[in-house]
Amino acid sequence: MARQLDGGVALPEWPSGTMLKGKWSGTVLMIERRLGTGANGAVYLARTVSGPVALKVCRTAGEAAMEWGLLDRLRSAGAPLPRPIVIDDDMESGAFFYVMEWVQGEPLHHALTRLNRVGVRTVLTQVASALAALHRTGHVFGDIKPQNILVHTRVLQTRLIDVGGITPMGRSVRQFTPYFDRAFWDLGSRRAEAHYDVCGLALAVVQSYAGSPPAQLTHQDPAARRRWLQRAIPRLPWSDLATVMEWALTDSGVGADDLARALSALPDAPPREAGVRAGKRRAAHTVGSGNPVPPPARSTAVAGRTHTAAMGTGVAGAVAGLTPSTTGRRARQAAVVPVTARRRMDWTERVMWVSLGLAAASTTLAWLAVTGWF
Amino acid sequence: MAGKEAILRQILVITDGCSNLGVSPVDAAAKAKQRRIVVNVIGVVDKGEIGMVGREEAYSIADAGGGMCRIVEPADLSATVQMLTRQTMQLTLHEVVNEELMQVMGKSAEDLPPVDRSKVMQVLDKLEDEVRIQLVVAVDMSASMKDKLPTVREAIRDLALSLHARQGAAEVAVIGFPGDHDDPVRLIQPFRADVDVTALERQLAARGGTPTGPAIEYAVQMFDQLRELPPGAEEDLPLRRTWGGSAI
Repeated sequence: MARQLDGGVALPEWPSGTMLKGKWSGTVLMIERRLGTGANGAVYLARTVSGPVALKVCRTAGEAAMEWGLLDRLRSAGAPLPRPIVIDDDMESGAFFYVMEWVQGEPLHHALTRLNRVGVRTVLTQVASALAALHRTGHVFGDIKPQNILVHTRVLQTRLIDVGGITPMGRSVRQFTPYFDRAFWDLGSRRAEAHYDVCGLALAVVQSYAGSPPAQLTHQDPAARRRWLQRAIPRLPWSDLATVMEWALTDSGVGADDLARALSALPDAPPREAGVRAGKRRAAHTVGSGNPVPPPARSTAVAGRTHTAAMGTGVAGAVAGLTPSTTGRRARQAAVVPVTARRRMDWTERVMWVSLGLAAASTTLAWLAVTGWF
Repeated sequence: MAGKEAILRQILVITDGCSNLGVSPVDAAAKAKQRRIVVNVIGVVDKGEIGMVGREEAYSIADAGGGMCRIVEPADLSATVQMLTRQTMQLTLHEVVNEELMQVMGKSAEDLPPVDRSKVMQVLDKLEDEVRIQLVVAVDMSASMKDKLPTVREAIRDLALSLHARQGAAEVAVIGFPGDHDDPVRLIQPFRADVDVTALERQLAARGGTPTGPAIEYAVQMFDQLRELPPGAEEDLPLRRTWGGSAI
């Protein structure tokens, strides 16, 4: 009994060219290749008379029916998910499957590292807006991870795939991946609410750049996990993006709409480098204050203070519902601040100027000597 | 709904090898199943050592206990613990619903057209979130588990978090085997809504042999005490009344 319960019905292995026929609808499909295997099924690319489709085969009738029902209901409610086509059982093998639109693209983490700043901003804003649309139907996505967010990098189009984790708000998230689960990082509960997805997206972005955490993190307590995250955030390419992500991670009041606004308000030009390093660490402090973020591990350079305080305001502006242009201007102002901050030189700069001065002086003296002024 | 509340009962055994003390764990699991308590088993392997015998036993316990078995690496423990618990809940409910469907329509969910199945699943999913669950986690604390106990602790913490996020009530108890001195089993935490992680930390210390069977028996007794009924008095799964009364 256990093995049958186990879904011991092993997933069928369909080689390319396998023909399937639907027991109920009579749909005929030809398997082209396997696209991927997940926690509760495998997805194939298949051909039908009307073109290529994605086919998901599940271990149990229940899983297939469940996912199909979600797709069907949520698509008609306006959620940006693959379009469901048909659900059926294979005539010959009895396998439970459903067919949906084939979404092309590469997973988020590949796309992010290849795109420039404007591309990254566009893609992330799209994902946040997609989540917001889903949240309006009263559901959260749940199983956010880079593999479930497909980006068409040429046309910059983003789609959410895999409905396995979609959960009505207020329930406990049905399916998740530990590294992208806010409860794993002690950033909140596993209850389905808007911030669960917002936090998951921020975790996916951070890990797209910083890489996956080491496996031994699962043996460690939440405090150790948080320390890893704290070190990973500054590895984002831009300090202002890091600030927004930090905010999305720690502020449980942030909705997907808020995140979309804050992201779209990021200026085209990256913030000046001078403030970046210190800024990131200070950002952890400023944005996270009042939230359960441990203070940054290393001390902060003074130069970053003004800069990130302004950044913090920029983001807060976005939360308060200011128009993107206002927040954009604020953010741009913030980006200028480091120039003034830079007046107060740190010691490396002094060393540089002193050595440049000495070099100039000795060169002048040398020339004077050569041209026989003394 | 006003009648008896539906309760799912599960025992989750986390072990890394073969039992070697006391009654047969397979017999103990079979007895648990008679009481409508599902027994799941997770075998934790480090670099692939659990051995054929340990593997076979783990599967046999789950078979006898009407549950599922998984053999996993420590890194996957937490995710597996939750998946197994949730899936077993679903399956138990599925069986109840299928019985009900059989009575009402003479078919199981699999005989329905797929589109109708998805409606049944919707109800089932809601039920899974709202049903009350009582779970005893039985942790193997024999010497070989020493290095894996921090992982086990985090997995239990994680599981409690997950169950807690549901709408239905959840009570989790944790026992360890072997116990202190000559006791085969040690109570680490009685049934509670949350998990006392510090207690786990203090108490999870590995030593001695592997009395898996006595641990399962002990867990069954804990359920009996909770029901405050003489053992065996309650035969029917009260859930059926809920389902019949409210949903159909």
